[in-house]
Amino acid sequence: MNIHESCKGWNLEYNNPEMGELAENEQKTLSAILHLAGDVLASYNSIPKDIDQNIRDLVLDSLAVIFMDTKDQVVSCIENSISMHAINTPLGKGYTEEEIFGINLADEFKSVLTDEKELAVAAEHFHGLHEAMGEDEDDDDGLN
Amino acid sequence: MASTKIVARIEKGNLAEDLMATVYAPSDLDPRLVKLGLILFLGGLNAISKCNNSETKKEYLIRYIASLANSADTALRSTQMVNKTESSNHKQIVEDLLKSLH
Repeated sequence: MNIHESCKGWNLEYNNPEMGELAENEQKTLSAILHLAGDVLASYNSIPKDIDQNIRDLVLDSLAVIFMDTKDQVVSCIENSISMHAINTPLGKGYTEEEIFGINLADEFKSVLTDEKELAVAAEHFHGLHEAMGEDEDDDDGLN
Repeated sequence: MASTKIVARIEKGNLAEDLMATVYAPSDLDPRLVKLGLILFLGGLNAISKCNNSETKKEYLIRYIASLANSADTALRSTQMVNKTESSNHKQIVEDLLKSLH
């Protein structure tokens, strides 16, 4: 499987024999990532050759920092995805709140905190109350 | 499953009596960490009780307990996931993903 992207003056190919057939959304997203990488390289290469070398070096350093930061963010996004998966996976037999805590946590909060404002404060810290507050969990951190 | 008795105590300070918690925790958990957890829990209560404004005190207590609920729920869900995926290649996939970035 490979992804090929090209634009004015450049083309990039990502080859990986271990990569299987991609679904449409995977193909679109990964192609866009490859295209962006090509555009970034192209932007650096399009700096006029007669420009001060110091400017070229500054741009290069900035790009390096941006991509190192991106790498850190990719690690975070993988870890966050695992966490989100764990949080969103329904609790199975042996792991239900009733079996572990002896109570349903959201129900207990609602029983103890009858004031909606107090319940909202609790929901800021306990994701299990988001549904009870009628919140869309995807909107919680503005991450979509 | 065996359990171990663990006692945590915080000296009373300005309170009438010491704050104290006794739990029977699963024996396979490090008792020093469990005791530390109890001391933290009691210390949080101790700190919040010092809040002069009663409304703020209630709000801080709600935040404190809700945060504990979140941590406990995360521990539960993480345990469920790791137990379910330990036998699959899921863990290896994740490790490979992270390795490919280094």
